[in-house]
Amino acid sequence: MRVSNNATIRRLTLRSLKANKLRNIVAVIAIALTAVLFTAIFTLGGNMLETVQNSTMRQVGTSAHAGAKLVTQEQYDRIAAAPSVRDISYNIIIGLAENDALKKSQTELRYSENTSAKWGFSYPEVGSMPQKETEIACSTITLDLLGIPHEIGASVPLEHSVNGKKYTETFTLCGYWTGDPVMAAQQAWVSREYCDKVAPMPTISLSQTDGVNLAGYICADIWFSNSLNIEGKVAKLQKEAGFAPGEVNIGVNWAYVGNEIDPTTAIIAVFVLLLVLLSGYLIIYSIFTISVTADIHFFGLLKTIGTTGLQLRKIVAGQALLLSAIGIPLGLLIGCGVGFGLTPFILNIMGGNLTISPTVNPIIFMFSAVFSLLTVFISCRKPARIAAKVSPVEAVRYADAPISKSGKSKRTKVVSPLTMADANVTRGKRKLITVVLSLSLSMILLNSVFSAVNGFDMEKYLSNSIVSDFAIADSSIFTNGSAKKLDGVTPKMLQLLTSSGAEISNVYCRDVYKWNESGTIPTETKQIYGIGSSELALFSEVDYEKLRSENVCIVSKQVFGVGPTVAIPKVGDIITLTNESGATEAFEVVELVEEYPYQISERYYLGDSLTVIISNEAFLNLFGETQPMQTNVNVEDKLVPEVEKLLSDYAKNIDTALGYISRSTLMAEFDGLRKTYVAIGGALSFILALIGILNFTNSQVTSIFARRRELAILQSIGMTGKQTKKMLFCEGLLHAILTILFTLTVGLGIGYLIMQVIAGQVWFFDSRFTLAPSLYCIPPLLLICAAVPFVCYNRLARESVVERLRIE
Amino acid sequence: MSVLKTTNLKKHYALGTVVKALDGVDIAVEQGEFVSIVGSSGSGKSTLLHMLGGLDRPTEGNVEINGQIIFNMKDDELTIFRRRNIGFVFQSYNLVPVLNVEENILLPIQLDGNKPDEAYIDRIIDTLGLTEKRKNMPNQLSGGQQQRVAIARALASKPAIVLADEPTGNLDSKTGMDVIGLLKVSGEKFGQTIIMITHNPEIAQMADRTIHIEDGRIV
Repeated sequence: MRVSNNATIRRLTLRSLKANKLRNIVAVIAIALTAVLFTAIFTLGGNMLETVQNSTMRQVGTSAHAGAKLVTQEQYDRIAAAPSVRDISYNIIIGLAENDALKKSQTELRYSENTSAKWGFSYPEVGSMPQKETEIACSTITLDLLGIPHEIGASVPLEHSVNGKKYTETFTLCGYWTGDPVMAAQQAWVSREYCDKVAPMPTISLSQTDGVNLAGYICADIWFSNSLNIEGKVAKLQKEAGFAPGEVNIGVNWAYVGNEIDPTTAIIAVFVLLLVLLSGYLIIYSIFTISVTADIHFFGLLKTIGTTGLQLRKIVAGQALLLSAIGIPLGLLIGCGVGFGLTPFILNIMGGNLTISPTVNPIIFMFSAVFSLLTVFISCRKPARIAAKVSPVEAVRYADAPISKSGKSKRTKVVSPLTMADANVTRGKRKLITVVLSLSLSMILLNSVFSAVNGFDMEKYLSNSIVSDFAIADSSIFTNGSAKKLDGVTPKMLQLLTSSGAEISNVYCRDVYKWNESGTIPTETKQIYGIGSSELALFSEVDYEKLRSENVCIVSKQVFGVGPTVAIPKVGDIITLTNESGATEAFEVVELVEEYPYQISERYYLGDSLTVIISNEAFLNLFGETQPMQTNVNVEDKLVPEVEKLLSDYAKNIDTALGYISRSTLMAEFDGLRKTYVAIGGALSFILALIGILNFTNSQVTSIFARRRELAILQSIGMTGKQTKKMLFCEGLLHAILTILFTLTVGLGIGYLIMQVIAGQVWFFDSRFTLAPSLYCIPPLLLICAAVPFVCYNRLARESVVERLRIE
Repeated sequence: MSVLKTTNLKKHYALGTVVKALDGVDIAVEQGEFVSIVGSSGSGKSTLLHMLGGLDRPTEGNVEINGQIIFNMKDDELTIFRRRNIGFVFQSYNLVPVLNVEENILLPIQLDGNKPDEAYIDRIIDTLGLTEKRKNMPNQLSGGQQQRVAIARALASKPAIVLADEPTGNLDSKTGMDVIGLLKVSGEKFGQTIIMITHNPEIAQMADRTIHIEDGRIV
């Protein structure tokens, strides 16, 4: 038989909800705080992923899923016709700008469709794409390097060559956009007309040529239906277009491939999510258990008059849902703010040239809402079951917490406020555990965060980045990228430094290639360093005098790359080094080292190359007079600010290409890193602490309120207000003590595990566990745990004993 | 000599109009007397009992116990006075659920920080037939047993007066009679003064003297 009673259940739900104002407020706050945590974490994570993806796209130069490099019109048409391609656009390569001013920043001359330019982050913000033959659109970076004002109609002189033929043109600026220094190359768009004139489209597939002349080939930007498994989609596209293997190169945009998060980050993310879920569970569960227990007479009554268990469950779940409807949206809004507030910090950790591009993503809200709701429902299951299982008869006997019936009797102890407090606290074991865990979580997290930050080793951080007070080189050496200038330190700079009393030591470097006959593929690559005695001491036992006076060298065993591997010579072998003009000199290998120090390297790993280290003198002897790649500078402490200013002025006003790092800027960087961890960890701990305190307060207030009659009885038989307060104080204190014990034992273990994970992740980490943050938390914890019952009792004592005795 | 004396005891509540719960009550109870107070619902008998025990303060008048005027004391002083001089037995037993029978009985003594007179306590427990139940928790006892524990607790600190507020109200009539019998026997055996509120005329008759109260006055 079906009875339509939903309306009745709904009415009961609403009415019982209204009767519990205080509980509702506490529950809404708890749900909101849980949602805040979820939203903040998801926002943070989302922004992080998106920023990294966005920045990768900018480096790659397009947002498209994949790109077909250097194809003919016929090949392009076959790709465009393939069913798996959702959208496609193209540009045509002409060549590189060869103006001297543009050597520092690769500038590519191309024709592009509007769409392809937009996908490539290079669409004019002012003006338009070129229409007339002599028009050009380029970035402000290109304009600045050429010294051309940002004005439509300005003349842009450009040199380039196509298939060996040199062109010197003067274009008219028709559009420009703000240049992005992260991009591997700047684009200069010309008209189709000009493109067809100087670089007519070839009809032979590039794979059938020697691959040297690229002008006129099409670069296609391809979008698929979605970004999942793009590698698989590319393989499918190759088949659909009917290309022979190796005929056409279709590359995946690795901004979409890099989405796979490394396991450590994944573990940390899952751990944090579980932590939030647990914290939310502990408080929401606790609130609903307490309120269901307090209402147990009401549920018993409902059951007596015929409400089924399922209906009682629905009432509890319905209340939770209604409270979530207020709490979750509130939490989403606040959490979004917290997340955005913390985003700059986390991007700071990730370093590199990331700019923040935070966006409000509906998916983040959806995820956060779903997780919050999930937490609420998991938390309400048990309380709902308690309500559903209520026995109408027993409901009458129910006090604050069910009194255990197991263990028939109890040993008699001398009764004092302390023993009574102990008995009172331990009669609701589950509640006690919930509150203690809830309070412990934030302390454990805080302790872990500070232990982690404490473990950041500044010496390790510094010594892995710099070997002197200052290091000077072309700025390309200190930034990511492949275009390294290996002779960037000018004599003028060196002159300035020595005259200011600094002690300098130079590192020279050359990448030497031996090419195949056509001159396209390197067959042998060597990275040759010429170093001074102080650099040598960093990684080798060899006497510098020996390195300098005899024709000997040191070789690093570290080789990168997957191609034909390089044969590492043995000690005693003779290596022949060749300079740019072909002159050779033989060196005997005197030592093999594990690796060449990163801090004095060109910070770029050549694939399949052998790293050979010789002395400064031998290097200059072989390569002739040349400028150092890097100069390491040591000065007296009191001269540090002076030299810092000198370098900063020089880099700003005289040679903008000069880059330098200093011990002090690295220290500031290190400090920023620590602050980031403290800010994020601290914010999370703070919210967790709020949840813990809310949970404790709620549990104490409701417990004291539920026992107000019991407390009145005690007073009637002679317990003074002072003794009652002492008992309640002890109850609060017991929570605090158990929390501290739990934190210092289990928390310590968890904290230690977290440290191990971080130790694997952060190279400048030195495990240094500390208990200090937990210890600092103890006084406020004790204060709160003692104050809450105290305040509560004072509220209660406003009612007279007789009034409280009348309560049934 | 009167162990308890009230003079012109008044309790007025201002609930819109003034309600006179007690309107000038003068009673005196002698040492060792067993007095029952009877009256209909709302007659003011519970209010009177609360006043006698110092649980509630009167609007006017005073209560003298063993020659001490109790409402001159501060709250905590009064509580301490109460646990030394007055034993309470409530209708709903009011045992402390987290303490076992023995701990409940000893509670008022221990709250005072005193060592119980063990021989005396044993006699009370024996008299009330609770020897077997000493270590049990309140929820393992029947109503009659719980009320006997409450009586034992009231007697434990050798108070000047035992105040019983409808002690049989939650018990069936046979158990009720048994409990009052025990209360009376204990009172005689240990020389206690007992003042008991009841509805039940049969039970009231077991007392040495009955005071009728109606509309806040002795009739």
